Amino acid sequence: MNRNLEKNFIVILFLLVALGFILVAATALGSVSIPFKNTFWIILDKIPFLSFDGSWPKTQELIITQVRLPRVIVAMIVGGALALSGAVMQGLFRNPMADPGIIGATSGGALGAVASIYLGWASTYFYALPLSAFIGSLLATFFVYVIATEHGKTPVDLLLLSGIAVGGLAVSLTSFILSLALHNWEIARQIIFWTMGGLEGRSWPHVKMAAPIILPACFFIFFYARDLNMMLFGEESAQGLGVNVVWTRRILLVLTALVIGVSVSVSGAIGFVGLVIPHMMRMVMGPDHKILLPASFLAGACFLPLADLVCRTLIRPEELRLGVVTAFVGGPFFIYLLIKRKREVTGI
Amino acid sequence: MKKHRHSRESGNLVSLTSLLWIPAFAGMTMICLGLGLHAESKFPRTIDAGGGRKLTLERPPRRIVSLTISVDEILSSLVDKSRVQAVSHLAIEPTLSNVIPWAREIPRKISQDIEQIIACDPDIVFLLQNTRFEIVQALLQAHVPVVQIDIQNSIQDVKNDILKIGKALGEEDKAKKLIEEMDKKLFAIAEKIKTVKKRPRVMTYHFIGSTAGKERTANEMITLGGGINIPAEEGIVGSVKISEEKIIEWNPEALLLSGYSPHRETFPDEVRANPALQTVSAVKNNKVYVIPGKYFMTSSQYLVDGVEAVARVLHPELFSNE
Repeated sequence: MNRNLEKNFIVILFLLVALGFILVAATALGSVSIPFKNTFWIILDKIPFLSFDGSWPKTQELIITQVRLPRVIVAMIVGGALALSGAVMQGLFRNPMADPGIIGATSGGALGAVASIYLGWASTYFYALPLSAFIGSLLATFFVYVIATEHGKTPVDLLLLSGIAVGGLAVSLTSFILSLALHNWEIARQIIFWTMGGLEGRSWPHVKMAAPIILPACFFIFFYARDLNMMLFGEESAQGLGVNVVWTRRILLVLTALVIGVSVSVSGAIGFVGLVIPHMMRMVMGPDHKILLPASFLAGACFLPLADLVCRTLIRPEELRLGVVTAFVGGPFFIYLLIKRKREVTGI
Repeated sequence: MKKHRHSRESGNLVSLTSLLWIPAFAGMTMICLGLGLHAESKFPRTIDAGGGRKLTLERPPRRIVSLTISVDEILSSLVDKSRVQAVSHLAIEPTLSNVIPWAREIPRKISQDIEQIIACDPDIVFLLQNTRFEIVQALLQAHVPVVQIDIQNSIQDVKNDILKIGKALGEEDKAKKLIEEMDKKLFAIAEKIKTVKKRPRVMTYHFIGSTAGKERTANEMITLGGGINIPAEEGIVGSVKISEEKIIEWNPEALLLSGYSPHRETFPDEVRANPALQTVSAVKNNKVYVIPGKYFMTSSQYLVDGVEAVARVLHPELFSNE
């Protein structure tokens, strides 16, 4: 047990160090080349109470502090949020296929965003798009929950099915709007871009929008790690162990819907992070949610800025879409997990 | 009584203004002599930066960045190239740009890449009104002076944009002159078109399967070029996707295609050989015309050349002695 604790401590420490390193590395790289050294000092200079002689060009400082840094921070917050909610969903549904999209929040958010682009709100008011995405997310989750609830009970399998149904409906409505918009190339392009997820042009307002909701919500979720552990043994056993299953599930659903809603609103629909990262962490750290939840958050926060870095730098001057990259990395990895598991089960 | 007082007041006013004339003249002469450039004297000035924003410019911009080809083309006629830091990639696209030699000498060609834009250290950035909101927002966050240009759907829109850009750069006189030149060319074409007895009924057909109705520059090119734009006549507004059936039904006398059709260079031949369109008189009489993309797609002063290009294919007889 002690050795296990030690291992977990080392992994968490490693993830924290990696996070710091990625923050600097991902900020140092981009379409304009800026020396690593300058990036390092510019970032340190921005930390309160620290100040260094600014011998770097002003344009470099602007690019670092106003373009790359907020983008990397948004990527970290969103990546962490997606991975954490994925871990929660997998625990809550006791289903390895569960991901944040399963309660309809992702597709609902995408529908809200696409509607606001199509109706022209998105180009007139800065908060119109994120707000519509957020409302779409919450509405979708609400419908999923209401459809699945019967006499105050919400069976997991019903929740899963109604999530698929509402999600499918939202996706088809999104496609419908896209087909209406097709003759207007600029609008259609924006919609397609948005549905593929991305962090292009994300700046401090996006950080200010995401952080105050996502970070506290994730913090609250950590407190439910013990309850999630007990629910792994089945709801009745958890009930027997003193967990209020109905309320725990309700609270966790609301918190994840909130977290996903905000994530989708700042980054678009990004798949696979919420599915693959928790699985990866479970393989390394085991199923204890007390460790799994923070580790998933940190790993997600490390992964998404790296994926975004690939988007920014691979095929310049065009940008790859983030959702494409995460699926491209996540898909094969997931297949690897499946094959590995198949071997374990069949003993080959 | 009242009248009397009024006249006395105005009398005072006249003597007062006549007194003010002398120092005012002297002052203005001194300012003009002192600064040498009359345009400089009008800065700082506040301009409409689009999207409901105002922008105050302390001095005429000297590090100009443009992200859209229509502004690239307008800039080429308004300012010396030494004042331009970057133009759009399309400014050197052979099938689209009217200013390739000029654009080649501009240090950078960029796209909507925020980092690249900031790296130019611009004192003014021109981009279109429909540029993605995040990009505009991120540039504003980085204190980059952004001017959003309205999307040009008519010659009047283009003229307004030329004036707006001229004002932002302290080059109003050149802007006005550019517009005068446009009007002169348009007048010359109109004089020729006046003699036309029958205006052919035509339409545009874009390689993505769309056509242009009202409120599109192509509509004006056709009208001023001596044709009747069928979609506009049918009440269509903007660009819409059009079915082959509709083309057969409308039976245009000529089809106008854009020379800019990336990845679909064979489009004109496809149209000519399309079995479904063989009864259409434009196809039957071999009147499927390809207008060079740089004239047909432009939204700058070169739009006038688009009008002429359309006039030339619809009424070649008017230009036969040139």
